[in-house]
This record gives sequence, C-alpha cells and structure tokens, in this order.
Amino acid sequence: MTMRRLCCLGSSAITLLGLVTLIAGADEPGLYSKAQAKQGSATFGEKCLSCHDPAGGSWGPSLKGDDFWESWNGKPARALYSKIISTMPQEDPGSIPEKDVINLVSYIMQLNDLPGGDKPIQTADELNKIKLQKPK
Amino acid sequence: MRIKIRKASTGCICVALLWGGIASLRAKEKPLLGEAVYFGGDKTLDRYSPLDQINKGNIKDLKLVWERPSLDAEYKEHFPDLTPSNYLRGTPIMIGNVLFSPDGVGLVEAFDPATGKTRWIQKPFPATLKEAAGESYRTVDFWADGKEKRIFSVRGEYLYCIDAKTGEVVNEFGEHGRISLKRDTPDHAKYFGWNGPLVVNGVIIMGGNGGGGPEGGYGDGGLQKEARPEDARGFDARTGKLLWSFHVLPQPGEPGNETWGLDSWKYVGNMAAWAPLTADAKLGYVYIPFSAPTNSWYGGHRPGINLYSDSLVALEIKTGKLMWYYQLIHHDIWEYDIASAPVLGDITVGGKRIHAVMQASKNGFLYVFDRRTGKPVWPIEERPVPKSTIPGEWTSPTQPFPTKPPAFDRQGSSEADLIDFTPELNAKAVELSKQYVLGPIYTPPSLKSDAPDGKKGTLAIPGGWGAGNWNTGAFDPETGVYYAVSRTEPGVYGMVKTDDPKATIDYAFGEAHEHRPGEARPDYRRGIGPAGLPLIKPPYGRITALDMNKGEILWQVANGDGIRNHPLLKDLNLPPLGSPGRPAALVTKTLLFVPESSDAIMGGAGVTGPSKLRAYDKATGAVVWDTDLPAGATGGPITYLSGGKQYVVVPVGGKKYGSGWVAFTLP
Repeated sequence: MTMRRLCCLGSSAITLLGLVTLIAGADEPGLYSKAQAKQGSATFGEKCLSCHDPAGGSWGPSLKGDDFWESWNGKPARALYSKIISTMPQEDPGSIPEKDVINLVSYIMQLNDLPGGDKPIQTADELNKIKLQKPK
Repeated sequence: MRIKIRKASTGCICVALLWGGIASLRAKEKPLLGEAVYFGGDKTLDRYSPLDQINKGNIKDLKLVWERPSLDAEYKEHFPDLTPSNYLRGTPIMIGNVLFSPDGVGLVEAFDPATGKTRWIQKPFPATLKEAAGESYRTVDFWADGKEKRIFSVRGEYLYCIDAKTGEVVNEFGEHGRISLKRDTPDHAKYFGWNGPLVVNGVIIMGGNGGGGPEGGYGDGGLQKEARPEDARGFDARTGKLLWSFHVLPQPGEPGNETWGLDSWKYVGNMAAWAPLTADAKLGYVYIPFSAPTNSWYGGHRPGINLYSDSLVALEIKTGKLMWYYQLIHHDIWEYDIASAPVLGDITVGGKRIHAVMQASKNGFLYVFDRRTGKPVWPIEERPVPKSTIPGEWTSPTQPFPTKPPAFDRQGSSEADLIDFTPELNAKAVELSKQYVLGPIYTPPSLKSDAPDGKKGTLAIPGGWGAGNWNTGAFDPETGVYYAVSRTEPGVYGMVKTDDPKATIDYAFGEAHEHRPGEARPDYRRGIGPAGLPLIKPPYGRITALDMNKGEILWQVANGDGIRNHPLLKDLNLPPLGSPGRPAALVTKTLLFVPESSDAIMGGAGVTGPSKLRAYDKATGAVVWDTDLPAGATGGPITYLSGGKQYVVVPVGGKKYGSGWVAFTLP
C-alpha cells in the first residue's frame, strides 16, 4: 500500500468517524506517533498519575473520557500543552521539558481515543494544527 | 527577554496620604476600617468585616462591576504558552486602597479595588517560561516599618519580599529579594506549600512544607514511611534571616521524642501546617495546626501518640519557643490533619471573658481553648476508641472528644447514615454498605479482602478529605458566633499488604500499588452509593452556626442545591441538599457570604455546574440573596471600602471559565 493510499484512507476515516479535525498542513492519519504516546505514558505514570488517575477517584480531574472532554473538547492541542507546561506538576510547574510535554499530550490523546500513527509531533507549534474533538 | 512592568500609580494624593497614615498602625497588625488584611478579616482569621453598607435591605441591588483574569494580559503577550491554573487560590488583601494577591501563576499582582485595573505585577526572575510558570497561592501578607511597606509572598521554593508601592523586589532582603525555603537538612529537602506567609511583629512565620515526600517535597506516595519532618520557621521581616525553627518531630533530648516508638523519629516526616496560621500580636503568640505523619493510613512503624502531629501548637512569635500544645488526634491513621485555621476570638462563657482559639478539624470537631494557656474552655475527654485489626498497627486506646460544642458535621457510619430518599434507594444503599466495615468515628482502617463478598475496607465518616478543611471557620466578634463551613464525604480505608518493590511500609491504601494508567478503578473509594448518588445522607455541603458563648449549635443549613435535580431525585420535592467542595465564608455586620465551590479545586469531587454566591442572614441562616458566579469560588470572599463604596470580591475558577476575580458593589 502506497503512502498516498494510506493518507487517503486515513483522511477518509477521520472524516467519516468525525474523530478529529486536522487543520491544514497535516499529512498523516495519526495525530501523534504511538511511540511517543508510549513515552508519554511513562512520564504520566511518574509525574501525573497520583493526581490524575484516568480511572477517576484521584485528587485532580481525570484526563480520560467525559472529565477530559468537558474541559478540552474543541480546543487546540496546543492549549493542553500550554496548560501542562505552565502548571504541572503542581509542586514544580514548568519543570517538564517541552519534548516530554508533547509526549504527554500524545498519551492523553491516545487515552481519549484519538488516533495515533507513525509520525511523531516534533515541536509544540505542530500542536496548533490539531484540534481536540470528542469522538462521536 | 525584557518584560515591561507598569509602574504603580503615583497620581493619587489620597492614596499616598493613606499609605503614610497607615504605616504606624501596621505595627499593631490591625486593619483600618474598610481594609481586608488577611483572608477577609485580620490575622485572627475571623473572616469578619464590620462593614454594613451592603445589607439585607439593599443587597438585591448588588451588581457585578468588574472581572479580572487571574493572569495579566501583559504576561500572556510575553509567554504565549503561559496558562494559569483554573484553581486560583489567591484571596487578595486590601491595604492602602490597593488589592494585592498571588495571581494564577503565583506572581503577585497589585490592582485597583474599584476597577480591577493593574497597578503592578511581580516580575519573574529570570524572565523565562519555566520561571514564569507556577501555581497560585492562598494569599500574600503585608508588613510596614516607617516608610517601608513590603509584600511577602511564597512561590515555589522561595519567599519573596516585594516593595508594595512598585512591585520591585527589595534587594536588602535575603538574596536579592528572596530566600530559599529549602530545609536546612543535609540534603536541602524541598519546600512545597500553598499557604502564604504570616507576618506578625516583624517575624515572617512559615507553617512548613506540605505533603512532604521522601525527599521533603510534595507527595506522600502511600508506599513509603520515610519523609522529612516539616518544621515551622520564623524569619526576620527586614533581612530574611532565619530566626527559629520549631521541630514538629522532637529530636532526641527534646520532650515528645519518646512518643515515636521503634526509633521512627529517625525517618518519619510530613506533619506540615498547611492551613493558614493565625497570631495574637499583643500576646505575642502564633498558632500553628500541624497535620498527620507518614504514612497517613498506616502507622505500625511509629507506635506511640506521635507528637506534634495533629496538634495545635502555640509558639512565641519572637523566639519560636513552645508556649503550649494540645494534641487533638493521637497516632493519626485517618489522615485527619488539623487542616483549618485556628480562629481567634473572644467569647464569654459562664460570665467569664475568654480569649479563645477555636480549632476545627477534618474530623468535624471544633476544639476550643483559652489561647493564653491552652486550657480547654469545655472539657475534652479521652474516650476509648476501636482497636485496629491490621497486623502490626498500633492504635491509641483513646482519643480526645470535646464535650462542647457538638460536632459540626456527620461523624461515624451506620445504617442510619445511609441515604433514604426512597425505600428502594435505601435498600440498595444498605446492600452496598455491607461491603464496608461501619463504625463510630475513629474506627480504624481495615484490611481489604479480595473475596467477592469480603469487606472492602472501613467506611470512615468524615473521610480524609475532611468535613473541615482550610476553608472552614469564620467568627463574628460582635455575637460570638463561629461559622463552620464543611462538606460531608466518607472515605473508604481498605488496606492491603504491600508487594511493590519500592514500598518501605507494610500496609498501604488499597489501590496505592494497584492502579496503572488507563486501568479502571472501582468507584467505592469515596463511598459512592446506588446510581452514582452518595451513599450517605445530605447535606453534602453545610454551614453550621455555633454560639461560642454557650457551646451550642444555633442553626445549620445546606449550602446550595447540590444534587437536588438528579434524575432520581428531582420529583421528590427535596430541600436543598448542599453543594460539596470547599467554599470559605465572610461575615459582615448583618450578613454571612458563602459562595459555592469550584470544580477546579482539589477536594472538589462532586462539584458540578455553575455556582452561586449567597448572602445568608447571619442570625438565622435564611438566604436573603444569591447571584450566579461565572465559576465556583476557589478562594475566600473579601469585602472592603474603596472611594467610600463597599465591594465584595471573590476569586473564582472552573474548567470552562478559566480563573479570575469578580467584584460586586451597589449602584
């Protein structure tokens, strides 16, 4: 299967399922790479889990499901990045490096059923092109 | 990058005159009429203002007059990614016709009390996103000596000293205007806490770290018994020099060290005073409520009553010398931290005037002492309590029970406490409750069984989030009434033997070593009942007025509708069920202002939707006025006079709104 075919299928799937909105410039079916989401999962376990358990019941809001979408539906992924890099972890805000925050955003997108692929997000600016949209 | 910071306004002669006029008064730590110097009141933390321009007769005309975001737009221009938390803790102080507060990222902002417009903003140093990023803190404090007027604030590991007129740091203080609050331990243990400083009689008092993990910073992971003790400290307000440290965990040779069995004093920590502190400047005492030790739910490694955990401690402000203490909970295994401010006020009991300190706790008790001596105003009895069944745990055979006033929130769990909105819901609640160990207050945590019909742990009421918390407590010095604002929420304490290689503790909270990202967590942790309703009867957020001259409850009301409109309840014609969360009160001449809490705050579980600000008749608890807030309250409401008009300001925040301050006044 050619890359063009992959892109076409990916775009169609996204359109049909209404999972995400890609703003001009994106050319991969995934919004982030699964590899960076995996790295983000490790960072999440270390830095975030104790207060933001995706299963709920912890101090801070869950970052999965309705709790997440209540705050983030329709917003650019850059806003989530900005929030994390500005306010987290709460005992040392600003201490998580940019790359790790991008990975965290990728993991949170994965947690919320937004599609991952092979191409990683390289810079925070790329997050401006991704709109967080609740899957229907 | 160079950041432009607006200079303080110098054009207002009356402000300048007021600045000069208040300098000598500051030494007495007393507010001028119309000012708000500490959480809406003064350093007794009474949250009281004698203002009466806004009253029952005209409050219907109260209108929103300005909103101010929690971060000045100027910073957003310089740091586009800088985004404040929705949890704006900053309760402003108003002195010399200027509002000062930590903003949404913990930098101090000075703004106009009548318009909300910026006077100045604290500069981060260095001016980088990492340095500008931060959390909001509960408040700042003010100190003046002659012409010197300083704002003190805490941010990250630093205590800052800022010129109140310009917003510039005061270079003569500490190292270029700030001092590190890292502990003077060999490993320079981290500092972390959300409280601001308390400045009295020229001494800055810091309650300690908060949530000290093994390395001394934030985060009790639940699997370790090691942490750093979080001592209280006093610093010179002029130089920043450390004046004294009070050992919350007595060292060898100090009284109280013997209360830590098995040499646990060598490694146990936490116990920070993370509630606001209070002080009697005239008496020269500061009152410090310390919290629970490591680990919060299992203490088999620390047999003994564990001084000064969960103790109210009175220290001499100048020296840090222990004047008296009273331990309110022995050997805490419920995380019942003394988490509320020790409110100071004068009461008359049996015809005798008493300078009292009133200390609320997460456990729903209000302990009342003569603040000069530490002697209980009403007897506090040591009563037997249940013994733990967890192997190796040490249980105190008794706990202190105040004989007056009555508890301000529900205590202990039994079938009588379960919801009974309908017979069907009650039956389901009774069935659900069978998975828990029920019992009176101080029923210890219990083992969690893996068996399908086994117990999941102890259903503790109140739970570790507390009935009382930092928000609880306001006192009317004119009537002697204490207002306890509390929430009713159980906690489930099911303990399991640890098998995590990182664990250094024998038993830990049920899920502490179980949860992994993305895994489902059973929803019993807070005692959730049928259909997602609470298992326990309402109200879930309440206000209790206590006549402190008699030690009796005057009235108790639900604060807000809460889940009254739940699909299973909306047709039952129920009264207000009370909104959970942690709102703080403000007492004025005739009114009691209490907002509803925010969904953005920790401890805000169960808070949903928009919130209201209400004014209650302080004598009866009747609602006399309410209005919608753009989001729930995240700090305390305050009131003050500016330009001859009374204002009410509330810090608010929420998932959908963001965060900021809103101000109300009469037309």
